[in-house]
Amino acid sequence: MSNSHSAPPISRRQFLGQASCAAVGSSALFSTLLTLRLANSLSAQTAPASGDYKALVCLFLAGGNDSWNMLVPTTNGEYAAYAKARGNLAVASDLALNLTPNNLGGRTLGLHPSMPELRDLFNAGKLGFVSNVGSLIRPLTLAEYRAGTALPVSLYSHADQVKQWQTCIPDARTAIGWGGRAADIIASLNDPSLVSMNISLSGQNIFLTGQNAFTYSIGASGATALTGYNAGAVNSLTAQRSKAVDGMLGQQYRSLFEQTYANTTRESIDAYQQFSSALGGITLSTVIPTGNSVASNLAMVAKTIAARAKLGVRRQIFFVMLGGFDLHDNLLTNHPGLLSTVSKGVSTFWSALNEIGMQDQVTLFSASDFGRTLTSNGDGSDHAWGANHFVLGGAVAGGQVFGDKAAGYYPDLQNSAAIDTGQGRLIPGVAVDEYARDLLGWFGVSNANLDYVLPAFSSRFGGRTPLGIFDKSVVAPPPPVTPPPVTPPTTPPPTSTSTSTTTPSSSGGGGGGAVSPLFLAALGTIALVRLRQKRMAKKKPGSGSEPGAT
Amino acid sequence: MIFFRHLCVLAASLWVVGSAAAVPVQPNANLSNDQLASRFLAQATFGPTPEAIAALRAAGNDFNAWIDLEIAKTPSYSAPLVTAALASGGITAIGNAQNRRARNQVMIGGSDQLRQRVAYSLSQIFVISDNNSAISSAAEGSCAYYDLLVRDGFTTFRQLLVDVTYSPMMGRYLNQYRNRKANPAMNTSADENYAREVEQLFSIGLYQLTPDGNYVTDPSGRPYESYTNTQITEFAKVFTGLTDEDHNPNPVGTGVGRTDFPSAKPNYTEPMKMWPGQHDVNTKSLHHYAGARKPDLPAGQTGDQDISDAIDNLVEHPNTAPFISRLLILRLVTSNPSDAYVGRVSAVFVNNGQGQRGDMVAVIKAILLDPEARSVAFITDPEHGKLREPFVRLTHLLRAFHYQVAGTVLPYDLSGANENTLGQFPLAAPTVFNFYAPDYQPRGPIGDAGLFAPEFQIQNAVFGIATPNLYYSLTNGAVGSFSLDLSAQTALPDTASLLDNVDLLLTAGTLSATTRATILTALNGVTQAMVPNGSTLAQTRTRLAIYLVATSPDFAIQK
Repeated sequence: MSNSHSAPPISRRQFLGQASCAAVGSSALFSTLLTLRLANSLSAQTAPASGDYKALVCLFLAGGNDSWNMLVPTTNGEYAAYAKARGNLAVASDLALNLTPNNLGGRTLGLHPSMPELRDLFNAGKLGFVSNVGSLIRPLTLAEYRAGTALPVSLYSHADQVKQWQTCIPDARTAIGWGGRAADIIASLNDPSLVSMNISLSGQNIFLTGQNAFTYSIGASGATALTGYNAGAVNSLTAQRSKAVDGMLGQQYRSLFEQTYANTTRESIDAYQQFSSALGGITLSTVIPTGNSVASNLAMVAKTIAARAKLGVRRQIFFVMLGGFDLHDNLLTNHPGLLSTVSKGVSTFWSALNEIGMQDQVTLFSASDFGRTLTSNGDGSDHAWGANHFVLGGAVAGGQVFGDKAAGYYPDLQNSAAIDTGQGRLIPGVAVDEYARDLLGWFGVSNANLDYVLPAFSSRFGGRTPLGIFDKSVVAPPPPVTPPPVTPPTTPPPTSTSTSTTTPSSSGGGGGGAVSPLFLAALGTIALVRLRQKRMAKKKPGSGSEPGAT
Repeated sequence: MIFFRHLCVLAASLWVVGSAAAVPVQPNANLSNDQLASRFLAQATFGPTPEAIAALRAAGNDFNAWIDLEIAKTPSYSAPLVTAALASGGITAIGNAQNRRARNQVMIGGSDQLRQRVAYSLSQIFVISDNNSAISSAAEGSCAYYDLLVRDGFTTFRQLLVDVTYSPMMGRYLNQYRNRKANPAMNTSADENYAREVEQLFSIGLYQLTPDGNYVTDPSGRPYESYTNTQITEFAKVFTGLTDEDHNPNPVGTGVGRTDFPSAKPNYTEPMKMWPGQHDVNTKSLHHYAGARKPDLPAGQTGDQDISDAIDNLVEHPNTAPFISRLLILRLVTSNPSDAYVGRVSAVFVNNGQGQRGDMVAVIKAILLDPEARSVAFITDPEHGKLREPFVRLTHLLRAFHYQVAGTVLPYDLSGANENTLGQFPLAAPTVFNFYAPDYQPRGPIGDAGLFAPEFQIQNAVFGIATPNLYYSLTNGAVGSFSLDLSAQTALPDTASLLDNVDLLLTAGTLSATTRATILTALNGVTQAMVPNGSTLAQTRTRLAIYLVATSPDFAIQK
C-alpha cells in the first residue's frame, strides 16, 4: 500500500542531515524547538569552548515563606507601619540585623535575626534581595484587582501559585516550567549526555520539566541505583541478576520498540554509572552542618558542579526544596529555625563554591509559593501574594534591593493600603517573569529565545526595565549623611505601553490578545508546529506478504 | 561536514548495542491457545490472570463473545467506595490518597476489566488531573469523573462528550465551570480554555484528516488546520453559563440585575446545570463541513440547546472518527496502526452497521478484533506494538501473580508507585496533554523510521531506574499494601516450567528464544548458597524469574 501523504515540506532526515551531530544527539523533535536549539548550538560554536560554565540553583521555600518577616523595614515611620500591621508577629527592631542597601537612598532594612550568614553575604556585595515579587499577568493596580481583571488563576492557592512561580504562566494551569523550557533551548550547549541538564535534589517538579527536558533526580547522597544490580558482581544472586539484565539489554532486537526500550534502559543504568563515576572521588572539605537538608542538598549540588568537566556540561539548573513554611500557626516558634536552616545552608553552599572556585559561575535564587499576609491571625499568617526573595552569586550586583523602582524598590508599608488587597496581601510590584528574565539573561538565554522560555514576557513586561540583578555598572552612591525624604510610594505604575494593547482573557488558556505564538505552545501544545511525520504504510494482514518480512 | 557525517554514523551505530550478535532477537510468534488468550487479555484488561486465561481458552478463545460478557457485567464504580468508607468511619475525610486507592481498587480488582481498561484509556483523552488543586480538593469528585468514563465507555461518543462537557470536574479543570458570557462594559470575553481543548484534544484535532487518519495537505504538503481562532471564540460562547447543580428550583442570581451565577454549595459529582443569566445567547458560527446539520446557531437558543448542537457539530465532523479511533488504538493495541486499520475502525465509528455514529462498543470491538490486533503475524513485525504503559506494566504484574492487599479500608494502596516513580498514574497527568503526545518520536530507531511511540516520552533515566526498582520491591516484598502470592510458581518442578508460566502470564508466550535462554541461565545459576535467609531456592528463583521477565524488552513491548 502506498503512502498517501504528500511529502512534508522538508523531511526529517534531510533536515537532520544538514544539522550538526550535537543537534541529532540532543533532539528527537522536528519542530520549532529543534530549530531554536539548532540555532543555539550553532551560536554556541562561536562561544568560548572551555571555561564557559554557568549554573542556576532554585531554592524553593515550600508552603509560602513569611518573607515580610525575613526582610523588614527599619526606617522609623516604616518600621512603625510594619509593626502595626504585623501585630504580635513583628520582628523587634533592635533584634533585626541591620542592612543599608546601596540603592535605597539611606532607607534601612533589617534581616531576621536568625539569618546572620545572609547579612554577611549581603554586606560583602554577594547577595541581593528582590522585593515584593509575585505572579502577575500584567502590572496591576488595586482598582483593577477589585474589578477582577487580569488576575492569576486561583490567587492565594498553594498548588496554583507554586505552578505559576515555576511556569511564569499565571493565567493557565500548565506543568512545563521555565527552567525546563530553558533547558529545551540551551541543553545543546552541553555535550550529549545521559544525565539531564536539569537536576533536582527534591524529586520531580514543574520548574525543571520542559517539553523535551526532563529532570534527573538525585538525593543528597547522589543518584539512585538500580536495585540488586552490580555489573561487577561474581558468584552471587546479584551476579546472576546483573548478568541477565546486561545480557537482555545488550541483545540486538529486530523490533524497533524492543531495541529502543533496551537502549533507554541501558542508558538509565549508564546515566547512574556516569553520574556516580563523574562524582567519584569528589569530596568537599567545607564543613556541612548536620541535620540541615538545605546544606546537604546544596553540598551535593556543589559536588555535581565540581564534576562538570566529567559530566560534559556548560549549563545546569538545579532545584532544591525546603518545606514547612506554611505557618498559619506557630509562626514565631517555627519560622526562625527554618530561616536559620536556609541561612546556614546557603552560606555553606557559598563556602563550597569558594572551595571549588565557582562562585562567579553560579547563581542561587530563592522562590516560594507566595508571600503571606501582613496581618496576624493570632498565631501566624495566611496565604498572600507579593514576597521578598534573595539572589546569591559572584555575578550578582549584591548589597542592593531589586524591585519596582517607582515604589522605591522595597515598598513603604506606610502606604501599603494602595497595594493591599486585604489583610496585608500585597499586589506584587514586579512579576516573577521579570525576576526570571534577569536570571535567564545572565544564564545565557538570548532575547530571541526568551519568547520560548518566558512566553508571556515580551508582550506583558517587555517594556519594563530589567531589575538589574546582574548589572554591576550601576555604582551605587554611598549612603548620604542625611537621609533624603523617602520616595513616596505610589500606586503601582500604570500599565506600560507594551502591555496596554494586550488584554489577556480573564482566566483562559492563553486566548487573549497579542501573546506570542510560542506562548500557546508553552501552554502544552506540543504539536503546535510539529508536522506529523509520515506514518509508515503497513501491509494489510493477509495481503500476501508476511508482516515483518521486510 | 564529512567529519560531522562520520560522527553521526558512529553515533547511529551506538543504537545497536552489542552489534556482535549476528541475528537480531525476534519474539516467539508460535502461540498456544492459552498464550493467544493471554495476548488478548493484555490488550483488553489490566493484565491477564491465570483464571481469566483458562476461562477464555475454555470458551474457545471467542473474543467477540468475551467482549459481550464484559459489556453485560455490572460496572465497578470508585466514588461509592470512598463515600462508604467515610460513612462507616473508616476514613475521616476524603483526600486525594483515598480517591486514588478507590480507583486502584476498581481498575486492578474490578471484574469488569474491559470496561475499566477502556475507561482508563478514555481518561488519557478526556484528561483531568489530580495534580491540580481544583481536582484534588474536590472530595470524591475525581472518582466521580472516572466513574463517568466507566459508565459511558460502552455508550456513544456523543454521550461521552456531553457528560464530559457537563462534568463539574472537567468544568473546574478547563474553566467552563462558571464561565461568564462576554461583558462589553468590563471588556471581558468568555473563557476559551474548554472550547480550545474540546476541539484540539477531545474531538477533531489540530489538522484536517482523511477517513484513515492522514492529513489533508495543501500542494506544498502542509496540513490544513481544522479550525481557526475565530472558531475557538465562537465555541467559547457556547460553553458559557454552566454552574454546579444545586437542586434549587428557584435559584437567585447575584450581582447587578441578579444575572450572575447564584452562590451555591459546590457539587462535585452531578452534571452542571445551565444558568441562563450568564449564557451568551448571540449567534455562533460552528464548523461548516459537508453534511453539517447546524453549522450556525441562531440567537436566542437555550444554553443546553447550544451545547447539544455544538457537540453534534463536533461529533459528526469528519475528523472526529479517525482522530478518536487512532487515539484508542494507540492506547490498547499499537503505536503505529496502518492507515487501513485506522480506516476500518473509523468507518465503524461513523456507522456501526445500524446507522448509528460513535457506538463505543462497536468501536472497541473493531479495535480489538481487527486482524492487526489479532493476527500473530504482527508479533514479529518490527514496527508493530507499543511500549506497555508503566502503570499497566505494574498492574499486569499484580494481576498475574495473585496480588494480596493488606488492610481493610480502601486497602488498594500503591504508595511508592506513582507518577514520580512510574512517570504515570491514573488521573495524574501533568497537563491536559496527558503523559505523552500521540506523535512523540523517540530518538533512535523509532524516530529514524518516522514512527511514533508516545509512551517513550516518559521512559527516561529516572523512570528507567525507578520503575524496575518497583518490580524488585514487589517481587521481593511489597509495594504499598500489595504483595504477590507466588505459591503456584514455587510449586513448579523446574526452572523451565517456571519460566513457561511467567512467559504465559506476562509476555503471552512471546518471550524470544534468546531472552529465554539468558533468563534460564540466570535461574539455573542460582545455588542454595545464594538463597537469602528465610527464603527457599524455589522462591528465590521465582522472584528472579518474574523480575527478569518484567525488566525484559520482551515484556515492556506489547506486541
